[in-house]
Amino acid sequence: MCGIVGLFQKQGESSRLGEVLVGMCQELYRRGPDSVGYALYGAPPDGAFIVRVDLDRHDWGPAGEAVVAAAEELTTVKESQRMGRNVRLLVTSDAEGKLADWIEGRVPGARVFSVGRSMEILKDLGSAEEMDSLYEIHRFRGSHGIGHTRMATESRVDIAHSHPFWARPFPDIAVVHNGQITNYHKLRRFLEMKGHRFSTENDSEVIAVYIADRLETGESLEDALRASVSDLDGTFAYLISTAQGVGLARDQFATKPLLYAEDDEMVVLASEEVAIRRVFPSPDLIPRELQAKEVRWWLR
Amino acid sequence: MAQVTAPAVVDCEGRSTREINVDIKRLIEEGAREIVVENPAARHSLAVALKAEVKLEFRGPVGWYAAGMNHGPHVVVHGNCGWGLAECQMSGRVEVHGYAGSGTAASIRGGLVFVEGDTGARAGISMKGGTLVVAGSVGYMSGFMMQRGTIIVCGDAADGLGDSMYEGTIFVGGSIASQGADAEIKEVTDRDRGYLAETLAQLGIDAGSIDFTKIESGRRLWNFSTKEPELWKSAL
Repeated sequence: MCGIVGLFQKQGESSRLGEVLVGMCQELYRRGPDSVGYALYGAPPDGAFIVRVDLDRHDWGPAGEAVVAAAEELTTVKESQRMGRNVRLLVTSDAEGKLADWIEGRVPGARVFSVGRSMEILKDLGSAEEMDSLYEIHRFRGSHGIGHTRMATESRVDIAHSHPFWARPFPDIAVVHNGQITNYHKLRRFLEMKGHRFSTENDSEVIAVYIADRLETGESLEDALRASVSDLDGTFAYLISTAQGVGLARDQFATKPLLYAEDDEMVVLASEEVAIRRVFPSPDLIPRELQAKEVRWWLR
Repeated sequence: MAQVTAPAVVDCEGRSTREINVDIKRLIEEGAREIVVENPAARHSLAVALKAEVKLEFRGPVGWYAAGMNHGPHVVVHGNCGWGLAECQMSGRVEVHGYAGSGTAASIRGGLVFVEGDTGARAGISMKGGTLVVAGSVGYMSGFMMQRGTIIVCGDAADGLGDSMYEGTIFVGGSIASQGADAEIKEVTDRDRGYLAETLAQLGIDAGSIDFTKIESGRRLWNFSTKEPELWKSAL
């Protein structure tokens, strides 16, 4: 199972971004009660990078300070904020992609969920509403975002293996996926031979790295999505988000559900229409189901 | 002068699927013959396992497995439907004025299912009777393993149409991306044209303006043959 959702605002920001994603994830809770997570894209702070770090240990206070100290060894920390087990940093650089590994190497139990110029990833165990009560996701406004509610099938139930997956170390690229990638090990080995590193044993992470690898070579998101439909084996419906927008693809057997609904202002994406109707009840917005091998993308 | 009875109304707002379905069954038991369902908001499993000559009108989209296992009802949906619409319908009629998801009319044994828009993958999978009419296009591997009945598609059919079908007939008005294993094009007869005209006329579609292609089983998968290993390899 698993439920995936997304919202893309064609111009400006949506004041409802967080609220819409939380509402849809909560509606799809029965598709994935293990964990929930979001990749959210807001207005980029002037030249800064946003870092989201999870603290998998009980002494959150000292651990949070250790994360800030570790980051300051490589970059300048402009701002830091701790919410529960999560630390949000604004830093002046990502140290050429080395910052995430550096923090994790310096602070035991620290896991960097994302480093981005506009993207920040938040994820936790439990339901969307439970997570929202801790992190106030519903207050988040921004241009676009993706979300996921997980039923673990391919790897263990913990926060690190929850979606979205950041395409480390590429800033601002994340994926949410419903399905199983059966040629995961082969693809992972191929990407590791090209120098990419993986943070988890979750098959979905390979999609994020695969797409980021292709985008890095200058390929368009459209071409990367089309190539993925052939290169990924198994069942999948996934959403990939970048600083510019959102793309999606569905496998050749159309085994996993995915719908999109579009009007002049926005695109809303979800595994089931019931999730869309919870947040956009207007009959003027008509969802369509993606066909087998179909890809779509919206960029700004 | 016959007495005109207003349809009974069920409002889904703030209510669970179970409460809505219990309400629908209660109204039918009380003698209602027309029921209007407001605000379904794409909830799953609505109006299922009903055995009655009743008309149910959904004013809005319904979710997965709507109108499944029914025997007799006439269900009208003003909006989209999710996966598994009218699954295992025994008799009756379902009309969707919108799009339908994957597995539309899966395993129906009788009655009519009509979709005004497109359907997802596997429309009419494992049909055992009845008729599925799609005014739009159908998705991947529609008619897979159908055993009886008729699928009429006025638009296009995606890859794998009629794969491994045993019996039954598929008519396609538009293009066919590819036929599935053992699905063969057959000649459209005058009798077929008459059937299509009559069936589609009741749905407001002029069959004469559509050039249908007819697909039926080549029946080469009915019995295993060592002389045709490639055919068996291509079948799922």
